[in-house]
Amino acid sequence: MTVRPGGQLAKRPLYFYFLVDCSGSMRMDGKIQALNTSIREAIPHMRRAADDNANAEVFVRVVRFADDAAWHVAEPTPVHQFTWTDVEAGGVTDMGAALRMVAGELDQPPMPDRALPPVLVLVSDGQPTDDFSGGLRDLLDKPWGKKAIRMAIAIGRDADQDVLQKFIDHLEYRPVSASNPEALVERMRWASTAGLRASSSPAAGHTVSVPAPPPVKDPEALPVW
Amino acid sequence: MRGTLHRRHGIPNQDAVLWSPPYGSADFAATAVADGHGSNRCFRSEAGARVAVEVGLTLVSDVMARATSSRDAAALEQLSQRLTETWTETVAADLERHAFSEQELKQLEVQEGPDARVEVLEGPALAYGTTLLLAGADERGVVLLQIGDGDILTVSEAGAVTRPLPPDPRSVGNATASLAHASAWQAARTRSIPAAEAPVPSLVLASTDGYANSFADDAGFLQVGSDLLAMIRADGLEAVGIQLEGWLGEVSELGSGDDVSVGLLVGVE
Repeated sequence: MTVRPGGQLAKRPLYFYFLVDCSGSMRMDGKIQALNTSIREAIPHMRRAADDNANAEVFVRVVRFADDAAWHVAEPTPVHQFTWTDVEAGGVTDMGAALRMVAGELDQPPMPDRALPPVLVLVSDGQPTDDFSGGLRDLLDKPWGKKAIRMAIAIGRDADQDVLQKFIDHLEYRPVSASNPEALVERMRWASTAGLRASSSPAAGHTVSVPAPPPVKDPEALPVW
Repeated sequence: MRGTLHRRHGIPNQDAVLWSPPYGSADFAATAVADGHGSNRCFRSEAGARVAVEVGLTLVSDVMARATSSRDAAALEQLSQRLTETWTETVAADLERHAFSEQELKQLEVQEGPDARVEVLEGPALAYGTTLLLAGADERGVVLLQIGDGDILTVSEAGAVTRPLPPDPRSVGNATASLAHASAWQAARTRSIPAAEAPVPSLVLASTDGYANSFADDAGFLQVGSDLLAMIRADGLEAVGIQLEGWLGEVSELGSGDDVSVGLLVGVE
C-alpha cells in the first residue's frame, strides 16, 4: 500500500497585479520610459522571489489606465513566462476604472478558495480623474480585495499621496515615492518582491506583514519628477 | 506533520492533534485538531494550539459521555462558550507562569513595528491564536464543532464524502476566525447529526487547512475521504496509520508547504 489518498497535488496560486498609470502626464520627463524599464528590471527579481517559495505558483496580470482602463496582460501569466511589453502614455487618469476592473477578478470564483492573498501594486504620477472612491469601494467590498496586499508607488511630487494611502487602506503602510528613474527601479523591485514574499510567507496568517522599503541607494540623486 | 515551508523558515510545527481513546475502540471516539496562526503576532500559537486540543478533547468527550439531550443546538452553543472561556483562562494561566520575555517582544517589534507590541500586550491571547476542530462519534450520532479554517469531512458506509458544516465567510486567503478573538464562540460552527436522522458515518476526518490547500481542486481533497476508508477496509487502520505521516509529508512538500494534521474517527464494522 503506497498510493497516497486523494487527488492531484498543486502549489497554491498567487495572483500578482500591476496597475499602471498611462495618463498623458506620464509622457513628461521620461516617466513612462522609466516605468517600462523599472518593471522589466523587476522581473528577474520577481522570479527569484517566486522560486524562494516552492509552494506558491505566481501568476502576473497587468492593467493600464488612462482614458478608461484596459488589460495590458489579460491572462494570468506564470511569472517565469511573464515578459514586459512597453506601455504608452496619453489621456486622463481613470484609476477608479482600473480598481473596478481588478475587483471584477477577485470574486470567488474565479479566485480559487485555496489561493494566497493577491498582491496589487498601483503606480501613479497624478490624481484620479474618474470615480476613484467607487472603484476603491468595489475593490474593498470583495473579501479577496480586502485581504489583498496593496502597495503603491508615487511617481514624482504631483502624485496624489492621499489617494494612494486610501488604496493601501492600512495604518502602518505608506506609499513609497520615486523622484527619478533610478529610485523608480529600486521601488519597483522592492514592491514586486516584498509583496510576493509577504503573501507566500508561512507567517502570513492572522495579518500579512510587508517589510519596510530599503532607503533609496542614492538619496542625493537629483529629483527630476 | 511539520510543513515544508515551516522547516525551510525554521518555524516549528504550529499544529496540534489529540484523540480518544488512545488505542482501539470505546463507547465513543473523539478527536481535536488545531492550527496555531502563523502570524508574527501569534508567537506562542504552538502552545495555543496545544491548549486548544487539550481543552477541546476534554469538553467534547464530556458531551459524548452525557445524555443525547446534551447535543442539541443550545447545548452546542454552551459548549462553544465553555470552550473559548476555558481556552482563554488556560492561556492566561500559561502567561502568568511564563510572562512574555523581552526577547519575544523585541522580536515582534522588529518584525511588525511598535504598534504590534502594544496590541499583543493589550490582548495577550492574540499571541496564542489558533483554530480548533472537534469531532465526536458514537452509535448515537456525531457531534462537530469548528472555529476557524480547516476541514471536517464525513464519509458514508458507501464511500460518499460530504462537508457537514457550512463554509465560514471569514476564512479567506490565510485569514481565519480564531480562538483568540473576544467573540470566538460566536464564530463556532457546530452540528449534531443524530443516528436517527442519518446513519453514523463510517469515517470522520478533521484536518488543518494545509491539507485541503495542497490539492489542485476540492474534488481531489474530498477524494482523501473515500480513499482512506477504502484503504482502512482493505489494509486495516494500523497499516494506514503507519503510512499516514509519509503521505502528509508528501502532501505538504508538493502542495501548500504548510503544517498538515489530521484526526480520524473510524466506525467499527
